[in-house]
Amino acid sequence: MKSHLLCFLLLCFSSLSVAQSLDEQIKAKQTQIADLQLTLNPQVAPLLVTSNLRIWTSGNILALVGNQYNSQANKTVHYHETLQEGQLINSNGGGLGCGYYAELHDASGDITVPVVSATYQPDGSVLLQTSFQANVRGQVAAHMKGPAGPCSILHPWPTCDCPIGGGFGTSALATAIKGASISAIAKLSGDSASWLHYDLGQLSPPSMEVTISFSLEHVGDVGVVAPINLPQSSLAHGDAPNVFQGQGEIKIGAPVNFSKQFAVSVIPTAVVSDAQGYSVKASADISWHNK
Amino acid sequence: MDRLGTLYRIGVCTAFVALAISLSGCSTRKAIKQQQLALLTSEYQYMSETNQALTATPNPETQSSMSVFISQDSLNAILKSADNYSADLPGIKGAVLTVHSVRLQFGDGFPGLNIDASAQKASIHASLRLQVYAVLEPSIAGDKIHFRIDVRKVVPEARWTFFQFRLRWFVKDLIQLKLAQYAQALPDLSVPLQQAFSIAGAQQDVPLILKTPSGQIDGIMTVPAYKASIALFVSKVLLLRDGIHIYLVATPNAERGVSSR
Repeated sequence: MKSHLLCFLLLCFSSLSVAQSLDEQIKAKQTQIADLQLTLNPQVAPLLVTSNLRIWTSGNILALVGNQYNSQANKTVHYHETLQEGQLINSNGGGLGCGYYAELHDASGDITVPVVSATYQPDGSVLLQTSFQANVRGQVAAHMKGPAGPCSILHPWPTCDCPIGGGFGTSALATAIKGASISAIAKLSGDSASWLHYDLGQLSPPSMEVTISFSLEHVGDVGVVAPINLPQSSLAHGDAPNVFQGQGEIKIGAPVNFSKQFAVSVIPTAVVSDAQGYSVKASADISWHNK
Repeated sequence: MDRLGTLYRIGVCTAFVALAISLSGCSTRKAIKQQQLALLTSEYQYMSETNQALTATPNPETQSSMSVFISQDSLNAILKSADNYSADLPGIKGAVLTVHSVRLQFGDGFPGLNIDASAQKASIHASLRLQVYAVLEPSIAGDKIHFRIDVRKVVPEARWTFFQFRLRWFVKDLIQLKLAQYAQALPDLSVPLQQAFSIAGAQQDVPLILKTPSGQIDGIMTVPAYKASIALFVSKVLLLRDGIHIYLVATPNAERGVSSR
């Protein structure tokens, strides 16, 4: 009878011991994982992201994109005059009675920017440094004023404020040639339209002088020094395309008998620029193409 | 007499075994535990590799040109569209597999999945919950990140008695079914990912004013359109509890401007 009992107990215990052994192994592995997790936690914590999406670009690559300007085909900024208010110069007196005045018409030309050097700044902007060569041409229409005349009975003495009329006109080619070093700042931002938007402005120096040269009959060579306030607002702006540009798909089966296409839009919620680069936290807007 | 006694003992012992088997029944409990252990072992291995990688490079962004993060929640929102997918199980006559849901459940380094699935066979009135042991395998192909589910083992949760042989056969068939057959009923996901950093700006007119001694000259500067692009490639993919972190670096010739596209 003892052997019967032994046989039964052996059977029971053998299956029990296998199950117990597995339970112990599972428990031991879970303990190992928990211990490793404690080591991992401080390493992982700085990398964790709380938003749906995050896109980060290094400062180096932002500068690299700026430097790619150097391989662009078109490096020329075109200039043309749209309106003249007042005159280019109004000379009173001088060897020719009341002098002359000149207006500049149809001025146009090119400003060539051959090489750009881009550097990412610790504040999250990109500094672009370059030198340019501007060559502008136009037509000067000059008018030699008539002799001085009296303005009124109360002011009978002739003055150039009230020339008696007459005089003659002349025309000449005007040129303005200028070369200088200049820098600009590209500011980066994100909004609902784009996760990365750049805006190039803040030209430095903020102003410079250009000399418009022309040669007039009876007057000789003239150089008109004109200060230019360089644009501080947007000189150029643009966007980076959606990182998730294109169509995603979820499908099941081979051959496929379930398929849905979708697009992911990035809607920035927070933008951070620092010494390392530019990052955007965003929510993901998933739009289905075939519901 | 002794011989009769021995035969009697063997008979009784056999009867005990048969009784024990028929009454206690069988289950897949052991197989489930074995797979649970295998998955935990795998999880530990993934975590160890991540630990090594992060020890060597605590912040992978320091060695990257760009990084893109996609949260588990975002990917799960896409996976939700494939909930409650049903398909016949090829190889098991009359069996239907229903994948109620597939959700990412990453650990730190571990591409874990939570798959809620069941197999039904109407002829024997059986509906068994399936323990699907699988991991996510992300890969990059073209301008897409592709998420494939790698099924490692499928074990039905079942318990049957000696006389429920049809249920036992169904369980056996489910366990022995090729994993590829299960994988075919699971979602295959691809998310677009541009492997380039580019910017583009349209041609722009900028006013420029020259102050002259007797007036001013208004003009327009036409700044040409600008487009620049740096080709990138994925250098590292890190799966953490929050989602997937993809690190990209510029191609070696990007700095020479050759790779602009």
